[in-house]
Amino acid sequence: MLKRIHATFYLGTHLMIRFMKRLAGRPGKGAFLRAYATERLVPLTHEEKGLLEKISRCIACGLCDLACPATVNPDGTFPFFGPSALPFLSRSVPDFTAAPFSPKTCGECRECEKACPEEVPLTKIIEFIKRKFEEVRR
Amino acid sequence: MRPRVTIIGSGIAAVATACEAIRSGAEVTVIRGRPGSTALSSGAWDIAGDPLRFAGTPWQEVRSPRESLQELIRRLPHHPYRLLSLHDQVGDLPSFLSGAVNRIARALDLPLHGEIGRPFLALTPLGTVKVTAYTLPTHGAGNLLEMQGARLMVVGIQGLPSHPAALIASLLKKNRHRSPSLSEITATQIAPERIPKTLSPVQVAHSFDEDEAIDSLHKVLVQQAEKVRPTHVALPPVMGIRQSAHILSRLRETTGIHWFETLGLPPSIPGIRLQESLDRYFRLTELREGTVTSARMERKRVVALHIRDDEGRDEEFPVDRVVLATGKFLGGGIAPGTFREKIFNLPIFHNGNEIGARPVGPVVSRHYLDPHPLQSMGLRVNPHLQPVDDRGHLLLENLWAAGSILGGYDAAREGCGVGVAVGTGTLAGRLASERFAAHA
Amino acid sequence: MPESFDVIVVGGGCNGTGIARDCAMRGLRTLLVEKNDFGSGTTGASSGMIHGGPRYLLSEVETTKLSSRDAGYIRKIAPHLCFRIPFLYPVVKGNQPSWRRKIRLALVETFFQAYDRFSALKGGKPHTCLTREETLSLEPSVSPDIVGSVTFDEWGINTERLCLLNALAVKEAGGTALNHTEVKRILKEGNTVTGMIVRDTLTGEECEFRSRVLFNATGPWTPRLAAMAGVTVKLRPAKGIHLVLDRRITNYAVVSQCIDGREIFINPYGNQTLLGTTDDDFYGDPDEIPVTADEIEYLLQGMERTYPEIRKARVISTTRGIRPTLFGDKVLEDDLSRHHKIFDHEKEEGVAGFFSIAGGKLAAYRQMAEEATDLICQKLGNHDPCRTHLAPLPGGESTPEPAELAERYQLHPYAAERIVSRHGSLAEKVLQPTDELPSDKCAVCLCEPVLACEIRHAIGAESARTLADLRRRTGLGDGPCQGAQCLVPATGLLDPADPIAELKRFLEESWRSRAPLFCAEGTRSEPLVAQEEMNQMIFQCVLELGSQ
Repeated sequence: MLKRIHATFYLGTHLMIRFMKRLAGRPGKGAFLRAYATERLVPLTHEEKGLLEKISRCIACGLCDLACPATVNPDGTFPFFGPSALPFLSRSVPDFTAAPFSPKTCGECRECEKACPEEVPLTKIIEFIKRKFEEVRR
Repeated sequence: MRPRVTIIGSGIAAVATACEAIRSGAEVTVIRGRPGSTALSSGAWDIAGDPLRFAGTPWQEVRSPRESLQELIRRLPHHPYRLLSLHDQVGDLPSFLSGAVNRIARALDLPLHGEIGRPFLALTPLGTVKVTAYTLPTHGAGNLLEMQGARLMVVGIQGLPSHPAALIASLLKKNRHRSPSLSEITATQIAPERIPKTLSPVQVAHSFDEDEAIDSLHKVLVQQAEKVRPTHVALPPVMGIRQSAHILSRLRETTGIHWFETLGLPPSIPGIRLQESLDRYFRLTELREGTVTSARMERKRVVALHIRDDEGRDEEFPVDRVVLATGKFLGGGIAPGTFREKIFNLPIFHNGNEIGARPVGPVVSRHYLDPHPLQSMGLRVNPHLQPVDDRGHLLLENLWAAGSILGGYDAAREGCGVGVAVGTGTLAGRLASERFAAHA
Repeated sequence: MPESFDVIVVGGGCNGTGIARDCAMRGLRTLLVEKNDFGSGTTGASSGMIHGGPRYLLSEVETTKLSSRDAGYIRKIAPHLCFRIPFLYPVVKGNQPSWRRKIRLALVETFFQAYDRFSALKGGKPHTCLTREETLSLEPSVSPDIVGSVTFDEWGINTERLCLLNALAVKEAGGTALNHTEVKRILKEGNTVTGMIVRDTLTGEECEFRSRVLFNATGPWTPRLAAMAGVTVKLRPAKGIHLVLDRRITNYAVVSQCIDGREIFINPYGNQTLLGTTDDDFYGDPDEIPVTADEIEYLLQGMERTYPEIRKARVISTTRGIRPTLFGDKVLEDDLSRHHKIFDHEKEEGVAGFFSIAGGKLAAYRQMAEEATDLICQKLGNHDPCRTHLAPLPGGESTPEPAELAERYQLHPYAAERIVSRHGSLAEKVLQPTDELPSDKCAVCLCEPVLACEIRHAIGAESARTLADLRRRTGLGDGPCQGAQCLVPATGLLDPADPIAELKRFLEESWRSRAPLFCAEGTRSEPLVAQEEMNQMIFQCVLELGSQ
């Protein structure tokens, strides 16, 4: 009981502090972005959210890999995992720290999209990851 | 005027329908949408798995598909096999099915192995044994029932964990008491030179379509065979996407050994090879690419289909007779929220009861390996494979259905996926092509 | 001659592993046993956050201070397991007049302004107050029917690995930690507990151990184990569930209110998003926790209030856990304190050598463990100081740069990020064997991703003995595909004694979490059923597990 009174009193004090602080200004979006800049937590736009919903339809069947003509990256650098990895490489935005694909490997022929039973817009994922990577880097 | 049959779907049921409709003299159009379960299939063609088989059944006592068919018809009142066996166009169901399978195999130029009177015991990439009827060519030499006294070598590829050779060999050894036919089982790993460092089964298969990679693979496999001296070799199902026949026949010629692939799991190379042969066949018919989103109906007849192509453009396509072979959920046949068929909004049933959006009972069972209503729900049809409502009344006069859009069977548990697709597809193709296709 | 220990801790959740670590570090001969796997109980089913307990600002400020401070310690000792989560608290206008809601917004802001002080103790960022437009620009999926929002800061943490690392720390400090080891009988001499007989649930082997102190930290199973020792601990168990979404749908956690006024939220967790939670009295078996369609609908409807598009997200699984709340009569579940209590059964019932702990919260586990260990040390005459807030957990010494690792080992950068987030400074140790065996860089689980070398590490160095253990350590089989791609290769790498039984066991366990989704229209999506059809094809049709 005593603890509750103390808590209420404590919060009441803060209410007054708030009124005074507000006279100096409101910590708003600018403060938020500055605070979280190093966390690589960039916002997602409405269109990007819509894209993510479609990407979520992937059932990991691998039919896209089978349709993809860009087989192996012979020089061994960042080998192209194949389109089947794309829906999963886009699951977590803060974890994009480097350009995920050697731009040579995906030719955007869209054979993967035609082969997908769940209509996942695979070629758009590469754009999305690249765009987010740029934003995260900034 | 030849009847015009439009088939919605591009899997086994669709090809069975197309084959029979062409044979019956109809003009056939196939509307090819998204790939479904056929493209993901393992290479095995299931007609009827032995429902009485249990963990300890010796391999020689496993029932043939012919016998298992009778068992399924006896036990399951809503099974499409029962409907087929009672139809006067079918006659003896096993002969009907094996005849249709052979015709389809010829039309696809696909030399299948197996027969309806004998089970085919195929090796899976886990090391379990699957009971099936027919298999695609690359698995043909791998019927465990035909390996009396065989020395089997299971091959794994370094960095391809999806084919764990040691596990496969050890599981087979554990089960060896069920059949004394295999005299020796060994596991080996190979590391052919010209394959990519970070491996995915698909990348490996792609790479084995190149001549140099094939040569290197051939060399390494022959070397292993000379060390171990097996009579049969189980390979991971990644022996090239297009070159598999060439790779295996060359190995056979060089060594005299029986080489075969284990069955494929998604991403299944055997599945995609099958889908490619289906696609080649469909191009011989009139083929439209696109997804059918809805239909225009007038007075209990389907008048036109609305097709959406890759770019999102819609087209109205007039139709005469339609066969629906869109699959269950993988092909996008049934909408899971409302449990209704997507194109014509037909009701979906389980055990004779309509399901609807608020199913009365659970659609799944408590245990994973138990039967789930979700896997055996589907359209209810009259004896002529035409969808009906809950009172058995015909819904659309010029519509038939085939394959897993039909309810009453559980393809996975009963081991009858291809059998039902081929049987119902063939009958539907025939019925839809009849000159006066009017059934009450 | 049975092995003898100073202290045996039963229970591998945050409390059990925390207490065992503290005991071992203070020089006591320690044994930790867990009947399933570390973190497989309540701790693993939590919201995946070590939060500072802001709600206690309304009732007991001291709790918030302690929680925040301890969360700060946890973050220091395992920085790689933690990830920052900005929380968005939107204030919905609804059909109330704007001025009333603006007052509410001001009160909420005051609340989180008060919280800033404590949040700072855990390295939290200060609150901000956003207008409606600002909120929507940061998170466009928030409902437009708001007057504004307040942001505050919490830490997400990989709870299963937290328990695992504590258990590994026990070993590092010279103790023993055994998973899949169940207590069969507690041994007593007169009124003193002297030891126990355990059984390895995988091999069936039984073993006897002797103890000077036996500590019961089994969470919801506390009363059961206490009864084995002939004492009573009364709990008021409370069930909580979460829905698991397939990816991070937002980068910020978003708070909402359910129909009964309870606050729930979505929060990012690794590669997923969690939506929860519920709080209901539970009278059943903690080994069999059901999830109902009503609970699922309750959460979805509640979240819709501030996040209207929640139903568009793909739900892949559920988590179910039982909070071992201290018994309190005639109050609503939410009002029960998250207090903890350590029961010294010698004082309570005259049974010496036996202690129990119950109540508490994840974020305060280290503090609770310290208290418990202080008591144990008192009994055993040990005077070493507690250092669990200072010494880093395995891998917590430093956090390597994922980009650098990716470059050096020729890995995909995303895979490197995930390995670092799980292993911290030990990531090098996980990857080093691939110098000899580069093919081990292949991905076994595509969804996460998990590389073969990480699985080998989990088996060799992290006591992974089952497929589910691998799932808890790496996330394998936990993603959207629910094991379709990875279970066969994982079984090959694990090489269990009975591979078929092990595979079946994993499938049944993961099915328990997934099956409820099919019975609720809100979660019965197209990808869910298509995935299931494909998985049934793999495991039932091709592999024929049903007839093996």
